[in-house]
Amino acid sequence: MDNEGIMSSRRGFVKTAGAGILAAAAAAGAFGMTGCSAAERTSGAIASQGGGVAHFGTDMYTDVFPVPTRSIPVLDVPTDIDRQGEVAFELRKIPSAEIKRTEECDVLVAGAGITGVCAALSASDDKKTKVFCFEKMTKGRGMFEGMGVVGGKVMERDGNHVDKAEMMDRMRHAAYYRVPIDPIKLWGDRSGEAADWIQDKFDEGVGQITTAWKKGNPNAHNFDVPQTEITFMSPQWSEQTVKNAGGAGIYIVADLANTFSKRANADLRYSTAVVQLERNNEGRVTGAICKDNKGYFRVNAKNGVILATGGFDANPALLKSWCRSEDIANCASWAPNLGTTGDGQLMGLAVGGQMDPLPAAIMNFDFGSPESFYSSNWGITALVSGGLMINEQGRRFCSEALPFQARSNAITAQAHYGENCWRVASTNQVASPAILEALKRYLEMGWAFEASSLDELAEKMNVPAKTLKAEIARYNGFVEAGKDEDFNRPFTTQKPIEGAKYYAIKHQSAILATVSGLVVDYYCHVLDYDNEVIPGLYAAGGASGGFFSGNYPRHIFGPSIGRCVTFGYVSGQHAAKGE
Amino acid sequence: MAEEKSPKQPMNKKKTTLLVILGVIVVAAIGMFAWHTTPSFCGNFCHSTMNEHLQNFEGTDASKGAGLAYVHAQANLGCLDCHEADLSTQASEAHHQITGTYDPAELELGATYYVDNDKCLSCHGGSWEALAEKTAKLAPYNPHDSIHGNASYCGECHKGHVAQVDICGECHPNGGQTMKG
Repeated sequence: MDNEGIMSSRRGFVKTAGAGILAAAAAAGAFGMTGCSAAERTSGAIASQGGGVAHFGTDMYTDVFPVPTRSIPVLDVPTDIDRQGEVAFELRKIPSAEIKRTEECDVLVAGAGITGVCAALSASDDKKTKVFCFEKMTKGRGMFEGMGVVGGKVMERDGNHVDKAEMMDRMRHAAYYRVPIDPIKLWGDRSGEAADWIQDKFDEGVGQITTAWKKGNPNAHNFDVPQTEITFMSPQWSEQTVKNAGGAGIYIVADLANTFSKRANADLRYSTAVVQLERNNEGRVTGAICKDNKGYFRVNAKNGVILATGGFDANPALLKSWCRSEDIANCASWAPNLGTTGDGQLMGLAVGGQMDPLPAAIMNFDFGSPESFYSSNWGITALVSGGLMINEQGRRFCSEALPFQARSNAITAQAHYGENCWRVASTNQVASPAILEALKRYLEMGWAFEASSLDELAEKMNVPAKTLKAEIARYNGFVEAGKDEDFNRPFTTQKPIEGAKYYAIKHQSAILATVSGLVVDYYCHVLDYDNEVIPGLYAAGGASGGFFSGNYPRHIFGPSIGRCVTFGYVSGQHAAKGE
Repeated sequence: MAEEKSPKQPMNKKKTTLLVILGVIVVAAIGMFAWHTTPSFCGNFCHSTMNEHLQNFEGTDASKGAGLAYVHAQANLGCLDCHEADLSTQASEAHHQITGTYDPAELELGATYYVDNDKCLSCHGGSWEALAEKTAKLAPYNPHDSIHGNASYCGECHKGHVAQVDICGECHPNGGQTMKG
């Protein structure tokens, strides 16, 4: 509950860092903004006063690269993502006069989300390594349900065997082999061990958290994959917590953070940001400049620094710099994780680290609403998942059984990057009174429509009625024949779109996270652009890279949190030993 | 003697005129000083750039005063109660307005007139902890003591001149709470 920390004075923040908050204000529609001038593109991210007009630029996100870069023309379309967190990283040289004090530790962990708390616990497991774990937000956060692993005691107990070679091949295949060898090998080799380890940490804590194999649908629209998901349970979690998409993750992170904080060799601090890495003339990362409510201070980390700051989904300015325009155009923010602004990626790049090739990989879903995500606890899922996917021309455009990322991609491939896509259903899909009750909220918001005929519905949706009717008749024919001639949707219990009422609800893409970061080796050392280790620097979880390309493969069960936990565990072990 | 007095007359007149001019200047300055702190000054002097915000403050814009400005106007507060500005900043503003060097394509007014947390907290609670205490009855959806960690800036949800943004409610039911404005 300490908001008196680094971020309490936004006015000061504007003058030093510039980009973050102004972009936030602009994105939120509080002030008009139509772009940045050529002058400010070359002037750096410094806000200067010109009659109340601030100059700011996002060139920090290209200037930070340690190697020459060039630009590919991408469309400059606005992004709907408007949740701008505050960027802790600073590119400027911080004058020594601003650095108020120096502190000493063995291992410094940047970030206290799921990866950071795992890294901090792992590094402090020997009871003697002095570990600092700094989180810039008031709490560490998490939005997840499962953890993807290969092997381990829980899988063995629950009778699930995954072939490691097959699973690593699936992971590389999902990235079209645009990945180095070691990160996926590390996950394949040691994620089972990491799953055993994290259960030990839960046993050390007070959250009564247990783990078990969760069997998933092995074949979402022919994307068949082995079963790698471990799920988390606790008698302390309410039904609401479990129903909130990813809701339990917060409690898992909180329990692990609490366990870490109780250790004698641990120092966990919130509202404390790691701002900039320090690398000496011998090439070793010796620590970092950090910032709390007393100002900047230096932390010397004898054995190393672990970057565990997650992705950059809460930094629209960086998303615009590093992602496909089409991926982020009509795309809602889902996660409330406002701390994920790419600080780790930026800090690593600034000392010579290698970033995954751009554009960055996103973890994208459909089920996006115009402002966020149709979470299951809003009670509208039957309509959102049961309807046909219809674009602004009234045409059906993909199999509704595709995995999340493919449905999201199909949406943004439609006209205007999927701005006006829909789910269209009928009484057959939306029959229960509970759904109709839940629907009222969306009818009032103007995101959903109800009609007695397809003609009436088409008019409300502003799509050509003739096309919509033809498409639905065609789909109903496919259901009857048991074969989707257009998109090969595997039919199971689908019913035709027909009945007393017809429904349409706005249906967009949503981004939960980005999953590209600093390329690491088998021990989570950050590599430079010659693939040489940067001594003293580790990265794990969403801030690390070499694991995904293009999209997060949502058809595979849990590789994101599997990577967070495994790489947190491994980076902590190695950093503790300084190896 | 009348001749002796005659030169005095113009002197008195001069003095009076000077006093009047001085008085006018003083009154105008006082008036100007008073005026420069009022919403109408902001709206009139920087008409093209500020007017939409003033109309919003007065509740006469298309949104009928969506945002906290109108709420604060009802409490008899003015622009400068929230948007801190010293005279030199306003003079600089005026200079840019008069000389036409104001670039409307740039982010307008954002940096100078930013309302920071301290400003909000100076009336509402005094500190985050105290504010959270005031809204404790909203638990487990107390937005000022969130399980996700607090938003670092009041304005993430509480908007000055546009509709409020219920970030909690975007993803899950928030226990039925609503925001003013």
